[in-house]
Formats: sequence, structure tokens, C-alpha cells
Amino acid sequence: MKHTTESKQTKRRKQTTSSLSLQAPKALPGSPQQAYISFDELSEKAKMHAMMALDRHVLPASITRSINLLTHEKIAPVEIEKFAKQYAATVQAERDARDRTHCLAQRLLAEGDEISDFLHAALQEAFKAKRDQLVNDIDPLVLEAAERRRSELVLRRKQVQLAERRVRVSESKLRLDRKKARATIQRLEQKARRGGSLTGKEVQRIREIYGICDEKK
Amino acid sequence: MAGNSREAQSLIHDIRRGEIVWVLRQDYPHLITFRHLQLALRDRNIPLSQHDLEEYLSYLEESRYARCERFFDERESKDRIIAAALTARGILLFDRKLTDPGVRF
Repeated sequence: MKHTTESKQTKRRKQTTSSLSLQAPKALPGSPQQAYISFDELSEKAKMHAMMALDRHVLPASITRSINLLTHEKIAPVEIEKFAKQYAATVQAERDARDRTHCLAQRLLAEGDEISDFLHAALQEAFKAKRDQLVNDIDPLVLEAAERRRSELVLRRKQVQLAERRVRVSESKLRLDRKKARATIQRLEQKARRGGSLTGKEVQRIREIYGICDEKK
Repeated sequence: MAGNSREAQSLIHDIRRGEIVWVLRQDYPHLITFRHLQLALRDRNIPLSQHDLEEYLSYLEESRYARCERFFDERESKDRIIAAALTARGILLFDRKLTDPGVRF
């Protein structure tokens, strides 16, 4: 019995030691064994810093060091290199889109047409999004005509606004005239109440206010 | 503690505006559509909603670093920004000849 208990105890001891040996040793902070994070896991500040550094063609190793200093995040240079390749492809696509738009604009200019700023921007967006087929199918002149119609619509809206303003001005003028007429009549009424007689001019004024034509005329 | 987080948030906004200026500089003096700008910023790991981007662009427009073309959306009764471009003053800002507390590079 004693033998089985001992063998059980030794068995348990062996199990614990073997399980301990399977566990990796705990990494101390700052030690090389501390895990690196991927580019996506970086904070926004670190990502922006990395983007700006890539724009200035800084080496990936320097970028990882500066990120570590800035935000204390550890990223492997390999991750930065991987992202840099993707970023370079994006930048190239942007450049290509810009060049294609510029070429198209130059071609249209050579043919005597001009494309507006809006159309230029829309074409560049389309080229960037690689909607090449769509752009090839669209006649730029049709787009330009659409742009002209849009600017016509804007002008017509402005005209309507101006016309409305003119109507408002006329209405306020009419109100003012009515006010003046009422004031004149009140003055004449007061004069009549005081016993004053109206002059020919004042009678004429009353006719004008009421729109009564002179019979003699 | 709250002050620190507010400062950090403000710094993020300043850097984002700087990134917008950087993107607009690449196409100066041409206009760039709102959608294109949004996608370009997303490629630079700065995903912004329409509202946020309009906020940043409005700041740059009011400070005369950018010009924005707007369109009145009758359905939503809102003035939307449809395109933006950098101005000459924006170029000076980009070249660090001018400084602005709300824009960081």
C-alpha cells in the first residue's frame, strides 16, 4: 500500500514537473521575447507617424524605433516593410490616376475642348477606383454637357432668387406708398376737422390716391 | 486625467487636418472630390465619416487653407461639400512658412 501511495505521489510530481516544462518561460518586460504587434494593431498615432515616415522614405528599422519611442508599441521591421509595399502600390495607383487624367485633359484641350475642374476631379476619382471600362465607355463630351447643364441650373436658380427679391422689393415699395397715402389722407382729414379748407393741390392729391381721373381731362 | 485625454484627442484632430492638407497638396491646384479624399485618407489609415471630414474641411476653409465646392442637397436640406482644393495659403502652411495651432504635420 505504501508502495502504491509513493508511486502515486511520484507520478503526480512527475506530471507537475512535465507540465511546468511545457510552459514557456515568462517574458520579462523589454526582453526580446516580448511579442511584436502587427501594423493593424498599432494605435492611430503610431500609424500616422509610420505613414509620414514612409512618405519621407525613412527605413523600416528607424520607423520601428521611432514608434517604440513615441508610443511604446513594438512592431517588427518586417511588418513595416510589408505595409510599405502595399502603401507604395497605393501611391503608384494614385500617381497613375493623376497622369491618366492629365493626359485626357491635354488631349481634349488639343481638340479644342476644355474640361472643368469638377469633371477633372471626377475623372481622377474614376481612374483611381479603376473604373477604366466605365470611363472608356463614357464620352467626355457628354459629361461636359451634363456639367454645363448643371451650371445652367445653378444660374437659373440664382435668377429665380433675384426675381423673388425684386418682387419682395416691389411689395415693400407698394406698402410704403400705401402708408404715405394713408398719412396724407389723415393729414387732410385733420385739416378738414379743424375747419381748414382744402386747396386745389390737396384735392388733386386725393384723386391720385384713390385713382380718380379728372373728368375735364 | 480628463484633461490629458482631451489634449490627446485634440492632437489627433490636428494631425488629421495635417493629413488632409497633405492629400490636397498632391493634387494642387486641382479639385479633388469628397469621396476621393475620403478614400485617400482611408488608404492612409485614417477612416473618417462624412460628418467628420466635412468638419475638418470646414475648419480648413474658414482658415482659408482650402476651398470647398458645395452643393445643396434638397432631399436632406443640407449643404454638402462635394470637392475641395488647397489654396495658396494652404501651400504656405504645408511648406511650414505659416503655422496654425489646429493643424499639425
